[in-house]
Amino acid sequence: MGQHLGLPMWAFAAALSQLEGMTPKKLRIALLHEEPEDAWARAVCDSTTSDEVVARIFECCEHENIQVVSIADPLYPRALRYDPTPPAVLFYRGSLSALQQRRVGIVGTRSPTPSGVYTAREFGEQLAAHEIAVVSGLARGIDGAVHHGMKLHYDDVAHAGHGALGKPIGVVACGLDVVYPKSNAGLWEWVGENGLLLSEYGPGVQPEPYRFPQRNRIIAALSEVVVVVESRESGGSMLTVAEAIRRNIEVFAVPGSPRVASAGGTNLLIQQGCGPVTSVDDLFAALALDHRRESGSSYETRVSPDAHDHDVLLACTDGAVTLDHLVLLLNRPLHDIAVSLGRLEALGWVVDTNGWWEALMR
Amino acid sequence: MFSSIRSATLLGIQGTPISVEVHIGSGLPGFTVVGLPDEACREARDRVRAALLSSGAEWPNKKITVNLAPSSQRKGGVGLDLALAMGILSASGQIPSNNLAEYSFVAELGLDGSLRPVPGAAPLVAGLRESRVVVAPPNAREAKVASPQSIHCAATLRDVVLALRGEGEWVDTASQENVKGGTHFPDMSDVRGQPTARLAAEIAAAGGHHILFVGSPGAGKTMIAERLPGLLPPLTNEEAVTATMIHSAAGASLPPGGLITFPPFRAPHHSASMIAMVGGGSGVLRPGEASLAHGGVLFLDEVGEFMPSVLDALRQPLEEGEVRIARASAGVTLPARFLLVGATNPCPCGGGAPGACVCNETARARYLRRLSGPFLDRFDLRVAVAMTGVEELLDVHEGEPSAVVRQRVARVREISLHRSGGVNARLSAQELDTYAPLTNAARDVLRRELELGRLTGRGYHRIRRVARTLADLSGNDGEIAEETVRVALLLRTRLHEREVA
Repeated sequence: MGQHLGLPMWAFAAALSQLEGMTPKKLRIALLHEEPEDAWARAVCDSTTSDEVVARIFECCEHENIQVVSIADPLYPRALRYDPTPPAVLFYRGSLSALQQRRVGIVGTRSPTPSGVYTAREFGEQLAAHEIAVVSGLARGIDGAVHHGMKLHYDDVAHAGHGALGKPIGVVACGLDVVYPKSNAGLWEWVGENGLLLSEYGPGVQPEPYRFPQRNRIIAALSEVVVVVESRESGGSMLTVAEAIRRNIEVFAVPGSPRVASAGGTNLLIQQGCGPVTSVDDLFAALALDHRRESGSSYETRVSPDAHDHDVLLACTDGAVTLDHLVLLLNRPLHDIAVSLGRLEALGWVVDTNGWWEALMR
Repeated sequence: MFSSIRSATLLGIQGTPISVEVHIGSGLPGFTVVGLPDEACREARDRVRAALLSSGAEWPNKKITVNLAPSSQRKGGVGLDLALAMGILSASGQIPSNNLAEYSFVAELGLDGSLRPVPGAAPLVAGLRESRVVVAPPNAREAKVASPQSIHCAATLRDVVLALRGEGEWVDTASQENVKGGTHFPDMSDVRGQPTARLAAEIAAAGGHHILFVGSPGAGKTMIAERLPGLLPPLTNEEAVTATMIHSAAGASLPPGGLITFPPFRAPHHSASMIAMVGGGSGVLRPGEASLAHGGVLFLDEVGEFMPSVLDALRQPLEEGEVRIARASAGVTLPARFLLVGATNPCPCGGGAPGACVCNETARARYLRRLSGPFLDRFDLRVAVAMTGVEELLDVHEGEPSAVVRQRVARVREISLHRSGGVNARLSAQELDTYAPLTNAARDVLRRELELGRLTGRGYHRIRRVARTLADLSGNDGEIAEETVRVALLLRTRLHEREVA
């Protein structure tokens, strides 16, 4: 039965995973006990499902450049093999060797503040530079920003022919041929080319809401430590944290202002005992790579603002403010503040989101 | 057994003279109206008959044919009632026809013979300028705006007949003339704090710049927008007459004096249809909100909730200052030069400081997408309005009153009128080079914005126009300084967050 198809084993495993009525548990048991081909034959023997399904999924994966690894395969990631709820079949693009690097999971809200985005981007850049892989979910907001930061570093050193870099590892909640969100399409492709793009779902599977918590468990399982950059008190990132705690994986959080809603979750985590992270040095320490935590940045690359502008900068440090706030707070004419903001913005000290100004201190 | 009476019908804001020809001949008793009347016009025969009988006149039991000439043009409305009645009375010899040719008649008839007002009296009378026009008393004020000398009023059909025979008097309308309409715009002094939005409103008024307020619910967007027309100078005579014509044609309410002397303020609800916004409709092509706001302010609250097609339909009036409505049967051009004021939340939940928004991604993207593109680009000023602090809100000191701001606005308008013949918002690119040269520092600021892709070519010109108005307000007549351009940039907030990655 089926031998005559001459299809590789992984195609049968992939087809099994997409079979109707196939639960993750059944799939895992089937694949652990039998060759995928035999498991397939058993599963479809009393149904009308034809072997063409296998051929179709084989062609689809070949065409979309998607590789498949099942739990019985020696290539299957070790980090997942001993997981309480491992995905039985993994679909991926890129190289599984990315998982051999040290791995940090970085997650966060989909609607972050600018400072959250900058932090995530900075972490991405520096972890890439220090040869540490970053696991994330390629979602909008923090997830995208951290991989975007890695990409920035790759682009920076591209012409220099730099040696080893930290790899991006993206775990997504839909088929690898279904790009979601569309705005991250470029990043999606880049991760597949330079690192590892991973999903538990076969080609064509849509990003249904219930798949995201499932995906988050894989992010947690693949990470040695998990860092939450910004999160509300409830949300996908907090689910990732719960999964990490379940697996005894250490969780860190970036502290934020208590006035910022999207830092509510991270601050709560710190209150509950998670370690605070303010720079990548903290992560090196967490990964036992470097115990010398450098206090703050030893140098500032930005040109310091003059005393006049400095007052405006200080007024922007305590959460985002509008022009109105600045005028009333500093009691200076509007045009004067406008000029200061313009200069500060040009030097990279403040950013503007829809009319709200926020300082970017170290 | 024939008579011809003059009246008028309305198309857009233009009154067209009509001859109501009545022929009474032998044959079976009957009453036919020909000459492309609409339903309201055709129903006139029943009203006229009842009105004549109620007034004690006689109904000729003969074959009555009414023609509305020119016969090829559609007629609508009820303003022809009185002319029809007069035609029948004249053709049946119940009133002398010798001096009827001097008169025109524009009024609806009640079944009891009373004269009722019709919408569009001012433009209708304007179309009948060389004759004496009889209108219902409530229409007298607006009719006099179009033609002050030759308006006659009577309360009932019977009074009209008596006056024409020389046995009665027309109603005296002189007493209504000297009523002065006042402004009732709320005052800027009610606004506490909000220095940015105040400045932006002042610039908008002074330079005729369209303005969009973006901010959370309760931040004061609507409050400031409602006070904006109070910052504009009163209308010139010509503008006032045009505004009155438009309001009359649309059947909108007029001030006690009849003439609209203050800038109109129109705030249509966001469920407005395209026709309601730009004008149209079958038959009369009624002016829409865009035309009613001519010379004043069109305020679109919750601008993102308007149907996208309605907003897009505003693009022509925004560019050209008029709406050209074309229909199979007719086309009209309606004036529509207004100051557009929009107000919107940054997202469905109302947003606030960055990170405070709890909307889901798709909802927020959809909300902003409605506002995107060319329409958003029409706003010279896009101002983020934030909640006033408690201190300012409880402050007993009043803000600067509208009257003071209005003086500055009037001065800048005068300067710009003198300089370029219009407001600063309508300066062309060449005129900008001549009248709004930039200092080197200012040019560098704008160059950086252009290089960063944060300013489009169109945005570049808009910033320069706003900067010109700003400089005018501060009494600077020469080159535009850096700080002026910086402020102009701050008053044009980018609405779309740049997507990360």
